[in-house]
Amino acid sequence: MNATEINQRVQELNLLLGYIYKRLVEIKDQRGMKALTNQLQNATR
Amino acid sequence: MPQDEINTTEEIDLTTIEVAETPNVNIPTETVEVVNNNLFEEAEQKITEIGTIGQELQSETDEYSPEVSLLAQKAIDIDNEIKKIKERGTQLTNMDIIHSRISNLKKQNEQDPDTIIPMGQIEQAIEYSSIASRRINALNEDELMQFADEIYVLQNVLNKTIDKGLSDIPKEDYNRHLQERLTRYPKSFEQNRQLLGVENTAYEQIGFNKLSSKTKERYLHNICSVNHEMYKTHKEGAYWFGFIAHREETPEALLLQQITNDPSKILSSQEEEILFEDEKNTFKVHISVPYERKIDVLKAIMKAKGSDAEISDKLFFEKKLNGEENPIITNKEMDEAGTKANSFFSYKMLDDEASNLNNVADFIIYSLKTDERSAKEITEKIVSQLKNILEPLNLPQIEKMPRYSTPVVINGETVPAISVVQGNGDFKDYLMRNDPATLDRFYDRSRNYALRPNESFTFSQ
Repeated sequence: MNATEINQRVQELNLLLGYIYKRLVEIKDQRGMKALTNQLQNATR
Repeated sequence: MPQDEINTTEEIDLTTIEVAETPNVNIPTETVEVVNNNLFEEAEQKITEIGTIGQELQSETDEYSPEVSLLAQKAIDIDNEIKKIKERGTQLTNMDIIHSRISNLKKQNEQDPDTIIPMGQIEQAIEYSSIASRRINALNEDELMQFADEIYVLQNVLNKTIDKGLSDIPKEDYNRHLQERLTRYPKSFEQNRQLLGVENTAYEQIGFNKLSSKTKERYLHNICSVNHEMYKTHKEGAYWFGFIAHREETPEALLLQQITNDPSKILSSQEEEILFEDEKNTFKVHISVPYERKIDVLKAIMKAKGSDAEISDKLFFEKKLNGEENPIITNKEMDEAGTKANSFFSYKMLDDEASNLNNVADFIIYSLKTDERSAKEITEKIVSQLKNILEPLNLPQIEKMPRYSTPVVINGETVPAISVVQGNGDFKDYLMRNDPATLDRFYDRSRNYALRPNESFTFSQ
């Protein structure tokens, strides 16, 4: 693996990390939404 | 002070320093792509962020948990891959820096024959090379060979610079030349050894057995120089170390030569007796190990030789300080000072081709008698010292005993790897072919014809 290949591969891995981070944030939001919905449902019961 | 001018005499913490992080403004940059460290920083930041959010999410259990675990594991895998790539990147950058520095020095050296490169620049390159050599495991064989070549060039630059600096002293005046070299360049011998050691780290990373025949010899030359030992030559299927005992052209030697070179030569009974009488003081110690352990054995011997040389130097200078003009260090003094390999000075390691013959030992150590001790007594001392040198290697027992060799047994236990032999293998081969009854009479068949019937050793622990 030379310098060019190293840069390419780390770029690829950065993209993957970006995706993972994005997906985790989505999950966090969905959980937040779910908790909020539950709260609302409980409040209106 | 720019980082390029760091004082190399300062103590450097080798565990933390990264050559790659030292920019060099004086070196023209080449138009090749370099490793982009920003990408690693970006990745590190992302991994930290993922770690934080991942930890938070993993504290809760719901339908998302399996996916969170999967993503966290994926991030860990990527982190590991990036660490490996980063190490490779660092090592490549180190090599680039070493290359730039050394080719710069080489150019300076060649362009103007009168210019003497400041020693500080060379010392800095030596220091960098030495640091870089500790991290070369991510380099491939071609890169390792390139690194070794660079170090070889640096050795030439160092030696040429020293030559230029001593040009006012005639080389023929050896003592003065040496004295002035020690005065003007007191570290130069040590620096040379340091570079030879650095060059060898590249060969060791590749593996001795994978080196070309020429590079193997270079490696052996280097390892010997580093340990103050002599590498003599590669001949007759073996690499020779120390002194090669000169065999005088006696009638007995000529007879031996004849039966070795001419299989049709037949000896008379009288000639056989003459040869037998002649070899009563011929003893050798054999070392036989699995193919891949050969170089470990050599390295262990070299280490012992290097340590002995240091002891001997110390004793020499102590005597010199006490006013002795030409101090002589005796074997007794060496023994008392704790030397480990002062019983043998002539030995060889068989090359791959010769080692492939099943009935020969990998190492043959010649027992040379001294004024105080017979060849047999020296053999006993060699065995004792080799046993101690090889002990840490945990070598296995000999699988196939070399021709006419017998194991060393101490207190009922067979010593691994080491065996001994008396007499000459070629002569025994001759007798085996032409006169087996005489071989049976001369040597003890029950001990693989290694020793004479009444011969025995007293091996110490």
